[in-house]
Amino acid sequence: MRRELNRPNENRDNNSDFELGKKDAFGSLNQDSLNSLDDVRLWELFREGKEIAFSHIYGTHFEGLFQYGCQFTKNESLVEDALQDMFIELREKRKQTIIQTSIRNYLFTCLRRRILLYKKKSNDYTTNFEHSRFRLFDMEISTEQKIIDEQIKSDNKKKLKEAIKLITNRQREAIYCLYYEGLNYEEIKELMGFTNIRSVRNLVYRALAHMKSALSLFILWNCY
Amino acid sequence: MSQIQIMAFKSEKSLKLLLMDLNFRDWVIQPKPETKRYWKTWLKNNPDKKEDFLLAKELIQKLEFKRVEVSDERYEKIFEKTLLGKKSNYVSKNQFFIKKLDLRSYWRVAAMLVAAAFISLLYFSKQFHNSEGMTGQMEMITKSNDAGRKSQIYLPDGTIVWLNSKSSIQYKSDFSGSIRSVNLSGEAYFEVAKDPSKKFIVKTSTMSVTAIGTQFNVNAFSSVDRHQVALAEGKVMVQKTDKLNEDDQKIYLDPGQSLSIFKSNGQMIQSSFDPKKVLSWRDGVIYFDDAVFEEVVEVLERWYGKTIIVQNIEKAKAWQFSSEFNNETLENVMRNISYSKNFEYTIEGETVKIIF
Repeated sequence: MRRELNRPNENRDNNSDFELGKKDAFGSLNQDSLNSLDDVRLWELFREGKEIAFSHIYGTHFEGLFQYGCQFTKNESLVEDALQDMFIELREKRKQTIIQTSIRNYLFTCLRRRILLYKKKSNDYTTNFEHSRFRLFDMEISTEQKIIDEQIKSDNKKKLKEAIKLITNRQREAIYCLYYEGLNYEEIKELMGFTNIRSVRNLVYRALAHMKSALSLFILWNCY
Repeated sequence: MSQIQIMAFKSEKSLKLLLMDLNFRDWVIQPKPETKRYWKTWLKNNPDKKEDFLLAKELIQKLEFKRVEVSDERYEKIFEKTLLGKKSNYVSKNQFFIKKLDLRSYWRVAAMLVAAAFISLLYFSKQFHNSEGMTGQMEMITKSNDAGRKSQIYLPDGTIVWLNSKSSIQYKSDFSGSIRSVNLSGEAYFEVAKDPSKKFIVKTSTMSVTAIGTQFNVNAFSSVDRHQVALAEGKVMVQKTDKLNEDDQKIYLDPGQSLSIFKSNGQMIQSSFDPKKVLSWRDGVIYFDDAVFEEVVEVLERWYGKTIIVQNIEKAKAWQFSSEFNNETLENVMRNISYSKNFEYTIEGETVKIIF
């Protein structure tokens, strides 16, 4: 879900972009030509100070970042502040920053760290990662109306909900990144601060094991 | 039942393996021709795992997480702020944000109490005017407070207005039309209900304030030279109303900023404001900060609905008064001021006499 922003100086610097060989018919860098660039190239442009590269990065990742951020807290303005500050610092330190895996993962990692910090600063009661009333990465398995018997249906729904409750915040975060954001194990490792990929796989495996009862309920569901 | 459970346990392992497989996940989330072919073949080679296969697929598709609405306004607001480079209060050294948060959570509770009070007010108060007149098809509603009375009003769109003493607002009964427009004289605090499709505009004699998902205070008493907008949250756009030109200078405010317009010379000043001073009236707090004598009189008259008569007013020339009165009676306030400023006073009926 990318959106275009019209900034006044987007098409100004033509010639310096020439060697990158990504020009449209009118000889200027545009959003379409940026789409075909890989992250390393795009980041290069951003580091050179091309505003169009920044607005492209912003447009590509804003939605995903915001959704991710809002999994940590109910306070949406905190997420807004964290995003804004993150982007400002990104621009200030663009020369020093080198992207290793992907831009998305770099941004997710920055945002995650910042939100946890801001939550601490503002005494957000959801700070305590495991024991909070507000559920981080609140998750549901949507249930269609397959069962005719209302009683069984509501019973199972309740059980399913409780089964999902057994999954810890960190496990749910990993599930979110894996199935919702489409990150790979390496990226999740980096994002959540694990030392190796095996730990990530273990975490996901345990999450799925916790979902055992949820899963079997889910199977029951579909057997009817 | 038990048979089904055994079935479930048997399939658990291959189910998990499938769920852990990133190629499988990618295919479920975003099927591509080549991956489609791959999984078709896989299924042909593993007919016994067909059930797990379908389940794993369905499970991934049915996982749901909380989703927030990411409006264009939000998208653009953060983009603009990023370009401006002004970081939030979490980064800057002053701890204003803590005060702000406290104020807000306190207000959630207070708002409910006031809402209850407001409902009873509707039934019992004679001082609360509710004059409604027909103009064409829509009704214009006017809500006004006499001196000495404050109220909270719910607008048809869910916006909450705290209306100060001697103030009034006017709006269409159903907010029909493409904008939500409120006329204000006096002072009010607005907690605007979000509706990206309909702008919320407050008009006063000197300016119009356009809100974008916002909480802000507008002070526009006709008797006072300085009119002020103070933004607590969100974003507002302010335009002077004495200019007919639509393209006239638009001023955007960030939270914590205020804009003052002086009626006498049309001068405008943009600055940060002290939330205590500007917003505390809603909590029943009178806040004087180096106030001159005329300001003290003006505020007290309005707050308590009395007339103040002063003898030997020239002695009050060099006044500067700072204090805070939290839901105090006029008697207590007068006693306090008279101690520090050394004057006599009497309160008789609707009149207060100050004698230097």
